[in-house]
Amino acid sequence: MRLHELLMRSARRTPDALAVDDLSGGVSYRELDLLADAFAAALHAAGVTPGDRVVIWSGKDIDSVALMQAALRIGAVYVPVSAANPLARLVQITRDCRPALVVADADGLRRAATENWPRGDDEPSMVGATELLAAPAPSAPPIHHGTPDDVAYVLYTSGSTGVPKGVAISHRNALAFVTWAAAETGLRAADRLANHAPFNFDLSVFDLYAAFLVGASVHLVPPGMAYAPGLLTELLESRRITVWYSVPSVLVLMLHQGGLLDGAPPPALRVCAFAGEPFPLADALRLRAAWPDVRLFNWYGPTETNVCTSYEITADDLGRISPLPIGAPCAGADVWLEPRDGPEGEITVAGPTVMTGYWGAVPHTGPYRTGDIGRYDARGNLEYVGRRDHLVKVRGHRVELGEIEAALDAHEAIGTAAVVVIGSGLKARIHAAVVPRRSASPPTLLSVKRHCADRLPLSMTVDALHVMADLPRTPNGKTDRAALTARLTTAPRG
Amino acid sequence: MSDIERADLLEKLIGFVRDDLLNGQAGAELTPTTPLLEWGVLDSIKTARLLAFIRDDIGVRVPPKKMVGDHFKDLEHVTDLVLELQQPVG
Repeated sequence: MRLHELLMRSARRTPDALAVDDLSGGVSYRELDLLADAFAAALHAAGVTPGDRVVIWSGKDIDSVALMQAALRIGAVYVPVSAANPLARLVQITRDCRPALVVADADGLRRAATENWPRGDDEPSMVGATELLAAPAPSAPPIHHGTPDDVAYVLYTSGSTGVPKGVAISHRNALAFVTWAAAETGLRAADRLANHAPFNFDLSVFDLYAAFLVGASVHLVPPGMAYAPGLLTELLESRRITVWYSVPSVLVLMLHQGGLLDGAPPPALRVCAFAGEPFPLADALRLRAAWPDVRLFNWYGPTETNVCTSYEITADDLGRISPLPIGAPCAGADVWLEPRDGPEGEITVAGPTVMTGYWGAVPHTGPYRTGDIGRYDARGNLEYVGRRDHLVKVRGHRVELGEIEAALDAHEAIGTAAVVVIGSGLKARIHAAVVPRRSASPPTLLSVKRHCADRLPLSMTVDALHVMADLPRTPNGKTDRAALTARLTTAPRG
Repeated sequence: MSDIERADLLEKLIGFVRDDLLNGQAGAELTPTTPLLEWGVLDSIKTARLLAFIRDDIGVRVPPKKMVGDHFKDLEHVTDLVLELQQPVG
């Protein structure tokens, strides 16, 4: 079984069923299948061959979904990069994965034209999805089969040295998670899944492929709607969504500012899953109490392992006072703590969901050490405790503080910079402490935001700026983030 | 709606974004066409704060279907949205 067969099988079984709807219109399985074929022919005609990478730089649209399927059909590896990534970060990604082609949506083409998309023999060419489809192409080559361990897609995530790193996921990796998740949630053809996460965030793998597996429909939430919790709540109702999957922050936002619990439970909702960060207990229990007929799942797993543990929140949890567990291993994964005998340890994962490696690095072998610290509760469920390094989560998005610091170091008015995150959940804020460059006037928050917007995804932009004469240092001269956090949380706001 | 009223409204919104959302750290760069969404001045939480300000201090409630990116692109657009919603029905 290969990942692209999921859509093909459902297209044969239920050609007229709704496959994908991007809120401006939908396509049936037959239409999506034909569109994927047309894109496969076009990619082939554009010179893409098996093993090549195809970067898809776009918002949320049906073309992008068809392009991912098209790439797999000709044996290529797709690399989704959401429109929230600026051109400079797209270039970092293309220099890492060396794609045969970058396909952009209309907005991306416009951005590439007004900014400076690099041209040269060594740089990939960029084409619009519409233009790609319009170019004459002979029929698509036969469906590529390859092996289950071939890389299907690469998801770029924040890297501590300032360069994003590409997590390479094979067909086997993705299918292990998708087939488990569909079975666990009792997914069926009548289901209507919402896709909230961007395509380069691994949460979207469930929305798309679990839907394709069972012939259900997936409803793409446009990025602009992320600013409107009320609209998301409305969408649950008007689209009769049956399965919702997002980061907890989005649900908390809908709960506090989107009137999620004001009326009756969403009429069709039967499964609500979340992952990516801890769900504050009080809010999770409010959901549990308000929606007795909706199954709630707390899933855990970094991009490198896919979802590898699961905890279902039931009525038994209503009296809970300890944090929600991340649960027990799932999707065929082995999960344990290193060291095995301590009260706490590093969550370590082996099994079919673990990535093949980082793109361009030596292949990953053996168990994957997540960098997350865990412990077991009295019932043997795994609990998430924290991180052992400088990777933080801001509203579910993975952020390496070093990547932001590297971007800030390039600001004309900044000499040195240190970044910390203060607060958690919806209140998490990225604070930058900077020492201005000698002879430069101190930077302003707006200029720093502008600078970040050119280099980093929006989820990594600086929320607060502190101009300092010096940064706290550890005895061996490194920036002392703990001391900095203490200084920023006790000092008056500045 | 006179030009003066529009200018007043824009001034209020700029003041809020500068003093509240940017902690007074905007410098002179914040203008009516500063790209708020593109530069991450507005994210989901800050948009909610801006909506609360528009509701409480300007007296205009923005309905969910107007809460799409285009209306929050920059302060010119926000001003237009508020003025449009202020128009008496009839």
